[in-house]
Amino acid sequence: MDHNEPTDQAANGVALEAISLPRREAEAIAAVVDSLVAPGPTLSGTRRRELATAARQALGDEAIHQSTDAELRLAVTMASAAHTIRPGDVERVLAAGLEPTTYVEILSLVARLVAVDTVHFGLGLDPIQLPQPVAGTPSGWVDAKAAIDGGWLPTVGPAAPPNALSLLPGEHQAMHDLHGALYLSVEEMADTDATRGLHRTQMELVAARTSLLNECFF
Amino acid sequence: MLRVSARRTGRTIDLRAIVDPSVDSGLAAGGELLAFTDAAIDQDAGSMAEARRRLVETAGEEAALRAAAVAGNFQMMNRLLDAIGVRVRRSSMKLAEELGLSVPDHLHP
Repeated sequence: MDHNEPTDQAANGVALEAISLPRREAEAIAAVVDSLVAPGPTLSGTRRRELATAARQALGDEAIHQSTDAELRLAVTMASAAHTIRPGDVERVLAAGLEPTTYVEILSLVARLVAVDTVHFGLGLDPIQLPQPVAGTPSGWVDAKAAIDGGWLPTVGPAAPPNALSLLPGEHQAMHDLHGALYLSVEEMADTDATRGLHRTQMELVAARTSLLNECFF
Repeated sequence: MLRVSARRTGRTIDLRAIVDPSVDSGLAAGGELLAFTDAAIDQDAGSMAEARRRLVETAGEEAALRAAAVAGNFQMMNRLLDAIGVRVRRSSMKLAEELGLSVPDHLHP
């Protein structure tokens, strides 16, 4: 389907066209989509796709919140109400048998999926279709240096935005790749006068308002 | 980062616009950016197209692209920080207080 086809009409009949993605952003989003259906560090491609699909339904389907599948409920909560997660919730799911590695992996795929879905929605593009899952064995790629350090899950170094997924090196790199494509790389963030379609102050206005709406106070 | 970036680049900004979009932030296309962000985060199909049109008309397609991309990026980052339990920085606590926001106890530094 041509993503540049007008998808909306204004009241006065003027077409409200979608905005197509430049190459860098399109490639970054394609990489996310491919990773969501491929084996991860602990989960199969099939399972990752199931969880991603459930996370998408979170907003419109109340029944999914009552699922008996703990991983699925976690994915749904992370997608629709991450700000409600408390230390006790994390303790409970881990005590019930969820591995910290799987928790972090679910978080990685849900967070990146919400990001790319938001970009598509904002630009008036067609919703992303998740491909069929890719066969293969989970990699088991975990950073043994990660430990609990100020957060609820292990990180390499004190828990902070740049290392939130550092327990899983592949997911950590995938997050940074997307972060750099959509916003700024960690290195570029030092430039308070950067311009990339918007001036840095305008980008931060969008970032701050997004965070407020998500009830995230960092 | 908003206040830091504004100060270092000599821009005047009213941070109250973050919590009340009817306040003029002082930034070019500020109102349009906030309306676009609200529609994108609220997944409001009814207002998304119009918000995008207004932003493109005011600031151009590249601005709208970056607005969507930044909103998407912070959708990701907000979830990472909330689900890992990253505590709020002291500077953010101060800003929250200035804006009349209450940070949950479990996120205090």
